[in-house]
This record gives sequence, structure tokens and C-alpha cells, in this order.
Amino acid sequence: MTASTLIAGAINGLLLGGLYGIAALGLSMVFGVMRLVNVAHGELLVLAAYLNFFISRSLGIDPFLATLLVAPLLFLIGYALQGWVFNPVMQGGLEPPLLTAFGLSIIAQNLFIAVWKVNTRTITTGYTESGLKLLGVNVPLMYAVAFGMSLLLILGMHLFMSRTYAGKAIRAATQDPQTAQAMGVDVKRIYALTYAVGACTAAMGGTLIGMTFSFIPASGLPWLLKGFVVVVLGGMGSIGGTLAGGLLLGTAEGFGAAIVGTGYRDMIGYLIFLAVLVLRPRGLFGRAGSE
Amino acid sequence: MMSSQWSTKKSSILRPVLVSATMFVLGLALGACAPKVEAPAEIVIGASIPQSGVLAAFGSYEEWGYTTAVNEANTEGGVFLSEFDARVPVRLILYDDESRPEKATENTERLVLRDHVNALLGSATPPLVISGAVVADREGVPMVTGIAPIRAFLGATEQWTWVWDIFFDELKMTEQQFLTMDMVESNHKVALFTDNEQDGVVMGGLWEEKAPQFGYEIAYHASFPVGTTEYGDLIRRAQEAEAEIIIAQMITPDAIALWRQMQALDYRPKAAFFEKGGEPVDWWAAHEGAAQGTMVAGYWHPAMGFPGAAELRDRFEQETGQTYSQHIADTYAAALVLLDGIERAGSLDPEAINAAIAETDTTYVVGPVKFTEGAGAHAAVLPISMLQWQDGDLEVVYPADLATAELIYPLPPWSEVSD
Repeated sequence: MTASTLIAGAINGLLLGGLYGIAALGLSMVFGVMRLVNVAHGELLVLAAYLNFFISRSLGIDPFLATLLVAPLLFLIGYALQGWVFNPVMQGGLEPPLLTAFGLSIIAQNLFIAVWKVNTRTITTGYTESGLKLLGVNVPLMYAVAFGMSLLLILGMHLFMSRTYAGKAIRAATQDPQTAQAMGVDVKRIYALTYAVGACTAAMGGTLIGMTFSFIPASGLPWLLKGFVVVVLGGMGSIGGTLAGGLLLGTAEGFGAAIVGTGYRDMIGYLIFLAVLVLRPRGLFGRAGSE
Repeated sequence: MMSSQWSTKKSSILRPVLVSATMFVLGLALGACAPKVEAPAEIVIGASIPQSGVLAAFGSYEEWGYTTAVNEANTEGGVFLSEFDARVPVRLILYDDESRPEKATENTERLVLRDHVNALLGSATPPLVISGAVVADREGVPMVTGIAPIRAFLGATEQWTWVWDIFFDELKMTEQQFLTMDMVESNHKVALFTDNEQDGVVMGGLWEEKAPQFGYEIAYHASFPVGTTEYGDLIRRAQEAEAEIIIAQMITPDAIALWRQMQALDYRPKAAFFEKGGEPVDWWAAHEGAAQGTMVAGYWHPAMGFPGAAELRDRFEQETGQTYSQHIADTYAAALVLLDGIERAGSLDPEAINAAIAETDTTYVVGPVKFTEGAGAHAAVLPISMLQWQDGDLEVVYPADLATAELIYPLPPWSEVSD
């Protein structure tokens, strides 16, 4: 192991952490606002990847351009899911929506198989397999793109939450749903909006996953697990914390893999996850009471 | 006295003889009048296969192979069972093991205990095949399987009794790879990328062991869990080790991620072997030009000339609209071996079927099948060749007598193959 290996691992991991952040953003939002552990989030990422794959290919357009079509589709799907499926079961405590999300995840996987078969897919363009040099280290271009996108997306989400009426209503519904309801905020609509916005972020996450790696109908689970680690690290419901959690996880994995080997990459992530759960359950950037 | 004794003795001897003879004659008469033992309504064959999960691509080929063989048998009225002097239709039950070994175990138990199958067909790849095979062996149900390299299969237990494997021998594959490498001018330094599945472990060990015998050095060996997506660190280490040849043993989604990242990090080996992951057509579809020249060991190619090979490929492609995979042949052949075994047994007695399978000595679409390997001879070794992706098709490039195309070497630079 040389210093250059360590630096390369850390840079690689930091950039990849941006993708982790984007992939986990919707999960974090939905949990932060509704306390819903959306175990179907991985399938939203995979759905976005499939939609982008077919839309970009059939229209012959760049996958990022196709995301402009995929994101509204995911928004509508997310809005409908929360409005028609989750809202009716949310009165019964935490378990019914959790089980509903679990059921949706299984249904979605089977639908993917039925509609798109089981083949491994990737979203490729002229630049998806390109690389670039950063501080003397070769890194995949897509990692750098994902990192840049994560910064843009987090900034956009911050502006949305702080500058728009919908964002303020989401924050109000997060902090005190009863009072927000009393003040005229339609909390159920806000929940649907939150899920829809979370699904929208999954559109970008799924696209980047498809462009950077590969995907099959069952790819949602590993990304969901990665998302859980990021959300716990960053603090549940914290948008900035989600990015920070992603970057931290990516860097720790990259650095750790350089030291102890790629075979232990996931283990490093889960060790950090357990340590944070034990020592700081609210996450590194979460507010008190968010655990 | 003597006469009286004799007469008593005679009558005491004759009586049972007469009774026995009468009963024998009556028995024959009744036997002739009695209805024959009724043939079973169906022969039930079960298989747990990966219809979802990371190995689902294998499952789709398996489903086609098994179903096609069973449908063919049913077209003729089923399998002829001499015990009943009748053809009995075959019902195939398929369960999805979701590419999970524990699910393969559960499914196989369900097939045996609840569905009462008469025989079983295997899943795909050693972890899934062996999980189901252990149940078959324990419950005494004959099973024929493919898609499990024989050393991984045989090494899973000391002695298989009820399970029969038809696939290639990893050792022969290893030797073929090194012999194919000899056709490529290189520094003889090899980087291995093997996942931690049974076949990855077995193959990794064989490449390490055999490399020096063929004049090669394993300059770097990366080992990692199935499902790994980030290979940057491993690729850098292989680059630092100056390996000009890579051999990978990993599932398709992982293999695709590795090859993409090699491209992004500008690591271009002179020859690349992607076992398991580089075989399905998904491999070419994911990379297109960038997969040009990559190699994978093959145990079947339509041009190998075994009976029905080209026709099987054509049928698959016409029926599914997809490009064929060699796994259609192995699974189709495995099902035929089982059905032929049942027919030779002439009954549904598990012991008779098992004994009949052991006697298999027929040339199928994958070549000659005869169980000769391992304790009790439970594996049949298929001939192996080296295949190379060339313009979207897998061509045989080694050995020379089977070759359908010239070997492309060294691999063209990334700039020439990127789309």
C-alpha cells in the first residue's frame, strides 16, 4: 500500500459518495417528514434507471436530457403512491406503511421482470466510460459528474425547502403536523408532495446508477441498504446531512478499501453505521429528537 | 402297517402339493383376469431456478431448456414406462429461488415434501445447485443438473448419491485459458478478479496453482464479495502489478461494472477472460464495441457439430427473439438425460431411475454424456473450448480444430472500440 493508493482511494470514494447522497436523498426526505421507512425506495431508483434506459435509447437523446422526462414521471408515480397507497394506511402507526412499502417493493421487482426481463442493463453514452485526472489520480468521469450533480441537487433542494411555499409547508408538516393542519396546510397533500419530490430525486439517482454501474430488477436492495447507512450517518431527514453522510461513507469506503482491501468495503460502511447508531443515534448532522 | 403308513405319508405329502398347485393355477387365472396396475396420471419433475435476482439471466435460459425438453416428451404422449406399458405425461414445476441459496433449499424441500416430485432438475451456479442438491441427496430423489462446474460440485460433499452433474471441468478450462494466452504476446503477468462464490474460490485456486506450470505469473489476485460495484482500487493495483492479461470469475452485473471502470481508468489488458459474467448476451449489449475480443470459456457452440445443436439455437432464437446462450444446451440436455433415465428405468421407483441415470452413455446436443468423474462417478465432463466475442457473436477461437474464427489479439485500444 502506497500513499498514492490511499489518496486515490479517498478521492475515488469522495466522488462516489456524491452518488450515495443522491441515491439516499428521497429516502431521507420521506423518513424525515413522515417517519416512513420507505423500503421501496430502491425500486424507485431501479424504475428510474429502466425508464431512462428506454427513453434515452428510443428517442436517441442524452440520458441527462431523458431525466427531464423521467423525473416528472417519477413525481407523478410518487404522488399517486403516497396519495392512494400510503396515506390511507398511515393512521395505523409505523408498521402498516412499512409493510405496504415492503409489499410495493416486491410487486415492483416482479413488474420489472415481467416488463423488462431479467437482463443486466447499463445506460451508455460516449462519455460514460471516460475518465479524468484529479490531483494526479485517474477517476471515472461519471463519479465526478455524480459528485457535481449531488451538489447541485442538494442546493436545489435547499432552495426549494427554504424559498417556496410548498417547501415551507413540508417543513411545517415535519415539525408539527397537527398545528400545520390547523393552520390550513393539507398535510396529506404535503405528504404526497414529499414522496413525489423524493421520487423525483430518485430519478436522478437511478439515472446515475445506470450510467455508472449496471442494473437488474433486483438492484434496488443493495442501494436501499447503502441509503440506510447514508441516512443514519447524515441524520434522518437532514438534506445537507444526507450529502455529508454520502460523502463520508464514500470516503471511508474508498480509504478503507485502499488499506484493508475492496473485499471489506461494505463491512467498513456497516461498521461506521453501527458505531453511529450506538454513539449518536440522531446521526452526525441530525437534530436532537430526530432519532 | 407299512402300507397304511405309506398311504398316510403319501396323502400328507400330496395334500400341500395339490393345494399349492391349485392355488398356483388359480393365481395364474386370476392374474390373467385382473386389471393391469394403473399407470400414474403424470410424472412430476421439479426445479428451483433463479427467475429473479442477480442470476436471473441464467434462469431464463434454464426455463427454456427444461420446458423445451419436457414439451418435446409430452408431444409424444410423455415418457414410456414399461412397468405400466404406457406413456405418461410429464408435468414440470418451476419455483423461483431468487438467486438465493437458502431459497433454493426451501424450494427443493417444497418440491420433494409437498409436491412429491418424482425427480428434480438443478438450478444454476454452485451455490444454488448445491443448496438444492443437498436436499435431493438427503431425501433420496434423483436430480440431474448443469451449470455447476464439476470440481465445485464434487468438492461440496464427499459422496453424492442421488445427484448428477453435467458441466465442464474447471481444470481443463484453466489449461485451455493458459494455452489460449500463449497465442497472445504478453509479459505473462496475469491479474485475477474472483468473487467469493464457490466457483470463484475454486477457479481462483486453480489459476494460482496452474499459472507457473504454463509459464505465467499471477501478479495480482483480487478477491471480493458478490455484488461489489466499485473496483477502482483493485484496478489500480492490477495496473501497478503490470498485469497484461486479466481473468475474472464473477456474475454479469459485477463483471460489467469492472470492465466499465477499467475503461474509465484507462487500464487496457492485452487479453481478458470473463468467466461466467462475460457469457450472456447482456455482456455484449452492455458494452457493444468495448466487449470486442473479450473471452469466456465455452462448453457449447452450435458449430461444435453435436446432433441438433444448430437446430436448438435456431429454435431458441425464433421462439424468444433473443440471442442464444450456451446454457440453453446444457439445461436442455440435463432434462433429456433425466427423462431418458426415467424411460430406461421403466418405472417411477427412485432407485431404478437413479441407477438408470448412472448408466447414461449417449451423445446429446452438448456432446457425449457419461458419468465418470468423482467418487461414485457423479459428474459428466463436457468438452471445453475458448470463445471470443467478435462483432456481437461468440466465436470458438481455441482449440484450432473447433475454431470458427481467428483469435483477435491483442485487444484493440479503448479509443478504437468505444462507441
